[in-house]
This record gives sequence, structure tokens and C-alpha cells, in this order.
Amino acid sequence: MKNNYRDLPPRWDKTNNLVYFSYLLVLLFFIWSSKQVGLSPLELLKGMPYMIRLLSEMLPPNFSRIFPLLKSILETLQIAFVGTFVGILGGFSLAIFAAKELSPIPKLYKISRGLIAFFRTIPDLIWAIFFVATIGLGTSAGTLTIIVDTIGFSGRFFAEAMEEIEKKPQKALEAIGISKIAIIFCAVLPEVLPSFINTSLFSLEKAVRSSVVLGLVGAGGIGIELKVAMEMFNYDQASTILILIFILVIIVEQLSVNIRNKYINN
Amino acid sequence: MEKFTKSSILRDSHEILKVTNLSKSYKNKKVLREINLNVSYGESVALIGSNGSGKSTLIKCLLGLTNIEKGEIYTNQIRLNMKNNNLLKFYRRDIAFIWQTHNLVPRLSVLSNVIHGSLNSHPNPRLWYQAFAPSEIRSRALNCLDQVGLKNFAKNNVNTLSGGESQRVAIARALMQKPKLMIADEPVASLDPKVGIEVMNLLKDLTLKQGITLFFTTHDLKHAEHYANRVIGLKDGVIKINIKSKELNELDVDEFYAA
Repeated sequence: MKNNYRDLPPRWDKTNNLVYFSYLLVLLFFIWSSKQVGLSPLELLKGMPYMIRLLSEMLPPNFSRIFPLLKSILETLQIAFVGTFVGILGGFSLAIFAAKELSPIPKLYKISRGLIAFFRTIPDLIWAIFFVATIGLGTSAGTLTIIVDTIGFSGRFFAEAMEEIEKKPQKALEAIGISKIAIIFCAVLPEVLPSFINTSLFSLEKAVRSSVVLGLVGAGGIGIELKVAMEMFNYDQASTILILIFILVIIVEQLSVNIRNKYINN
Repeated sequence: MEKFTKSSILRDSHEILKVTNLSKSYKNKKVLREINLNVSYGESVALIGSNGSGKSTLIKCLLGLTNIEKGEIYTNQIRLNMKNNNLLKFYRRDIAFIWQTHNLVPRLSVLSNVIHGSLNSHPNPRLWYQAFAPSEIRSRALNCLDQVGLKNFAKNNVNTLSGGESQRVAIARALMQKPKLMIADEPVASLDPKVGIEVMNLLKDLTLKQGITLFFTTHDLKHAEHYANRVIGLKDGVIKINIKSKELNELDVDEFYAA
């Protein structure tokens, strides 16, 4: 049998020169940007001795203040938990109005979409600074930040999940003559529940990580301890705090993996 | 019934379903032309016709799921009015609808799905989930499940049911409405022939026993002959056949289904 290589389809689809040109542009932009931001292996090498010195000062960790630190890491978790819980309720309520075709008041569709986008686009640290400046230092500023951030994050996913599900069960209830709000709870909610649980767990994980950072601007929790320890050059205490944060994040992530496996994968 | 004007109600009619001069188009294409249709209380009527003849559109119109351009529809003496939500809800109260696919709410229990059938007449948030529903409603739902032979499935998740079982749950949900008219759009098209016959028998028996009028579409002429008193044939949006089901074997089927 002869090899008829000529009949084979081309390995690559034909692309026009404009596409190659845009690849080239992206590459050039990357090279230029790397120079601009000062990303160079040399800089990293130069900083190496300082890093080693800092790390050696961090070790061994100093556990002398472990109890007050445990208290503030618990506070961090509480900020994240309460903030996520309230935020998810808020996100869900807004999402109902922000889901096309489901919105009980269609006039509010754009407004709720806009509100969710507004909450989401402003970074959590900016919200924290805003709340610290308006209601003062402390955990309530942190919790409010997590609430707003979670509404923005979960609201969008909730709304999209509600728009994407199979519409026929809803149609069937509509044909019976059931109110829109009842359809949302009877038909939409059971269908989107796995996606809701997933989004809620991601929100919690995200909130735990951001509530650590929020302390840096005075919004309560372990962050302020980390800031003070670093500024006072108590690196051995800072390493204790970092270990605690690491443990907290790992525990929350592992818990959320377990819950996900239990409720979603079955 | 405060907001009902005289024109919304057709008094002392023998017809549970009365359609006059109904027309409907999609994108400038006439799908239904001047349909006139009467169904008496207690009748069982089969609607036949090839794909694209307008059967599904007619059904959608009857349920108020799509706007009608022209004409009037009365079921159970109430006029379909899609502009008034209260009237529409009242109109739909006595009509149960069985879809081609069961369209149950996934992940919920069988019992919750059946209970949803009573949400029109009892708009109570407790009926959203079986766990919160009053015992009277739960017991009525269990009774409906019993009638379709699925009493032991009450707490099962609907995702675990077979196609035939799901369709029977959908029938139980329909019975929960205490309907006067049951409309079914190819109710057994997605089931195998044996299960299909079981479901059709169930539909026929239940509607006959409870005095519910049955109006169903089908591609199976044997079903039309066996389960209906009367057969209506739709072709290109026009009613071409309106005969007793006994007369169906005299019909030139090839000509009716020819393009």
C-alpha cells in the first residue's frame, strides 16, 4: 500500500497574519512589562542573603504569646464566618432579582446586577479602609467588609447558576399557576443547591484569607498582630502567627472539601 | 372572584373547553388558523397530526403559556386572559398538564413534587417542601401517589426514578390539583411501548373514575383509538378531522399525514 500523505488534513488550521502579529505584540508587551516592573533573576539573587537572614530570625517560632494569638485567630475566623453567612444571604436575595426571567420585579434586574458588580469590583481592602474610616477600628468593620465582598462574589455566581439551570420544571409549575416567588423556592432552589453550596464554601475560604489581611488596616483579627510583630522586628512571633494562619486556612479548606464531597459528588 | 367581568365567564356551558377562531403565528408563519374546538365535560379527546402541524402550539395556547393573536379560549367556563395574572392563575387552577417529559423538580422528594400540585389553590409557603406541609396535604399527596401505585416511593429522591415512574409521579402531581380538565402533550412519547401503555391506561382509568376530561396529543393512532372517544386531526394549523374514535379505521391515514 502506498502512503498517501498528500490526502492528510493539515495539522494546523490556517491563520491569517494579523493573528501572528497579535501574538508577537503580546510577547513584546510581556518583555517590555517585565523590564518595567523590574522582574530579573539578578534582583532575586541580590535579595537572597536578606531573605535568609529574615528566615533565620523567624526560626524558631516564639510561642510565648500563643494564647492571645489563638484568641485573635479565632476572632479572624469569626469575622469570616459571620461575614460569609450574612453575605451569602444578601447575595442570594440580590441574585433572585438579578437572574434574568426569574426576577419577581423585572425593573430591579439592572439595579441588582449593577449593585452586585459594584460590590465586586471594589477590592476588599478598599472596603475595609472605608469601613474603618467610617465606623472605626475593630471587628465590625472587618465583618462588614466580608459581607459586602461576599455579596459581590456570591451574588454573581448565584444569579448565573439560577439562569443556567433546566427551565422545564419551572415551566411545569408555571403552567399550574404558581407564583414566581414560590417557583424560585420550589423549583429553582433545589436545582441550584449544589452550585450554591459550592459557591458558599468558596466564599468562606476566600473570606478566611481576606480577613487575615483586613487586620493590617485595623479591621480586627490576626492581621494587626502580624503587622505589629513585623514592624517591631519580632520575626519569631511573626512566624508563629504565619503558622497559625496556615493551620486555619488548611483546616477551613479541608472542611470545605469534605462538605463538598459529601453533598455534591453524590 | 371579585375582578371577574361578565366577559370572563361563560355561564351554563356544556363545554369544558371552547376555542373560537384561534390564530397564532411565529415569525410571520401561520401556525394555527381559525381553530374552532369544543370539548364536552367528561369526554376524552385525542389530538393527532404530523410534526409541525401545530399541536404543541395549540396546547401552549390552551395553557396560557404563549400569547394568542386572535380568538378566545374558555376552559371550565373561564376565559383565558393573559394580561391579568390573577385571572390567569384562576384559569389554570382546574387544568392539569402532563408534559412529554415529566418535568419534576430534580433532587426533591417524590412527595414534595406531588404536593406542589396543590400550590395553586393553597398558596402557602409551607407547601414548598413536604417537611413543612400540613398533615392534611401530606396525606392527600400520599393518596394521589397511591392512585398511581407509588405510595412506597414518597420519600425517594425523584432523580432515582425510572421514566415511567417519573411520569406517574407527574400524574399524581396533576391529580393533586383536583383538576376538571387534564391536558397531556404526548405523555408517553419518551417511554417504551409497554410502559407507555401502562401510563395511558392509568391516565384513562383515573380520569374516567374521577370525571376528569382528558385532552391528549399522540402520534400513536392505536392510542387515539383506544383511549379517546373523539379524535381531532390538525394539519397545517387547520382542523381537518373531527370524528369519533371508532371511525378512525375508516380514515385514509396516509393522506392525512402526507406533506
